[in-house]
Amino acid sequence: MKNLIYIPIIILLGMTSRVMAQYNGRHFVSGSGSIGFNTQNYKAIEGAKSRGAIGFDMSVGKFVTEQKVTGWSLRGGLTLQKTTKDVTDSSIWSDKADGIEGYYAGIGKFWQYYKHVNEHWGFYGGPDIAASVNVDNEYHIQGTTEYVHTRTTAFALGFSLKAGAYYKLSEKCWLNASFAFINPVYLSFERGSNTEYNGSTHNVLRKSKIDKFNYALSPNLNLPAIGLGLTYFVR
Amino acid sequence: MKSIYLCLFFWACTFLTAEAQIEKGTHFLGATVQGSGYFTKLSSPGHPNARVQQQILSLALQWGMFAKENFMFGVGLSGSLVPYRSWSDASGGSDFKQRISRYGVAPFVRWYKPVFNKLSLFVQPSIGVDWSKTTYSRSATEKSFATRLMVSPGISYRVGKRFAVEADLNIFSLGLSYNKTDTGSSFAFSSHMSSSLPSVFGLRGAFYLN
Repeated sequence: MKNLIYIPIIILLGMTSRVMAQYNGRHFVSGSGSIGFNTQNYKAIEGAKSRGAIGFDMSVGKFVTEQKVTGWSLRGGLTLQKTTKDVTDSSIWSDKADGIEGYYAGIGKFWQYYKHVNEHWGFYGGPDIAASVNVDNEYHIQGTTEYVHTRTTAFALGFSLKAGAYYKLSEKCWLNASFAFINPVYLSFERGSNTEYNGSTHNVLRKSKIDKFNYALSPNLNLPAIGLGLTYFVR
Repeated sequence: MKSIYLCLFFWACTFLTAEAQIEKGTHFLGATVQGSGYFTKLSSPGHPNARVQQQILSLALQWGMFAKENFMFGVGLSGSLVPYRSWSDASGGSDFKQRISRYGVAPFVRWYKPVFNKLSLFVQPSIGVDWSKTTYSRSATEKSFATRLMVSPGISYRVGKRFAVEADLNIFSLGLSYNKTDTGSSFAFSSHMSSSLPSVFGLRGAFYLN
């Protein structure tokens, strides 16, 4: 009940204080990074499979007016794999599957519109166009003596709308949280190559190729979709 | 979770002025369209190419009329087409075609509760009737007929003077369906009730004309 009384007071305070800060012409860098590892141990056969992944997602932007931002975003990452030779399921290819399992990279152009509620926080939202490439390697057993290596390269182009909020930790550093997005248009082209090998001699038995074109028009709102990041003003 | 709704609440509050009522006699028109699909080609040396393609196209329209302030009755029409084909490039090779078509009619009533100037909540009970037909390349068909009772709450957000973006979710539904194939038929009864919020909402564009 107490909250219900406080909320209108907070709103009134927010509405009455004027936005003083000057944003026009300021440049910022914003981003997030991720790193992860996992290891599976197979007790019965004393084998192990380890995987690691790193990734980053950063953007540079500029306030062109008090409320409008334009900028570029860049993302990338890769997955690594290491298998000890005794994992039965993959023993026939384990040495081949080690190393880089997959990687991705993307570039985007974005526009954001800000609503500065008061000097401490506000909301933002806007469209972006992004292109990306994703490469993935996969191995699986076929029958009892063969294995297949599938390499997929996918190019994607998408248009999306995102919304979020920011909170000023200091004049130079803002905490931002995105909470919703819409991906109304998405196009992708995928090329996959399958190579079938003999398990003991590693000779190529057969090759095949698969091309796939995907499209999607989906006016769906994804909410809540929380992503946290930091924004740092360089000048 | 709570903080997100609080944030959304604050956001809505920033547009706060007086509550807007929707007047008697206002016409309502809503529409949403969705589409997706893929084309694939599998090629290997010494073999003819194998191809697969599928499309999904759906369109939903709603018409309504305000019988009194903040209360509307109306009808929704929906249709979707799902053509699928898989074939081989070889002359005289395999060719499989399938087409699913669905049509639906759903009369509804809707009560609005204006929250702020631009934001309204609504609840919409409806009774729906759906027909679906699947045709295979060998000219075999399968038909089904279903009726359902649904209660869906939603939100409506005004973007312009007449235009609004709306999202609703299905938290309660009761359905009865009848399936008829060339070889036999079957009946099914289903019920669904949920208190959890989904994370993906379908959006609809709507016009309020008076």
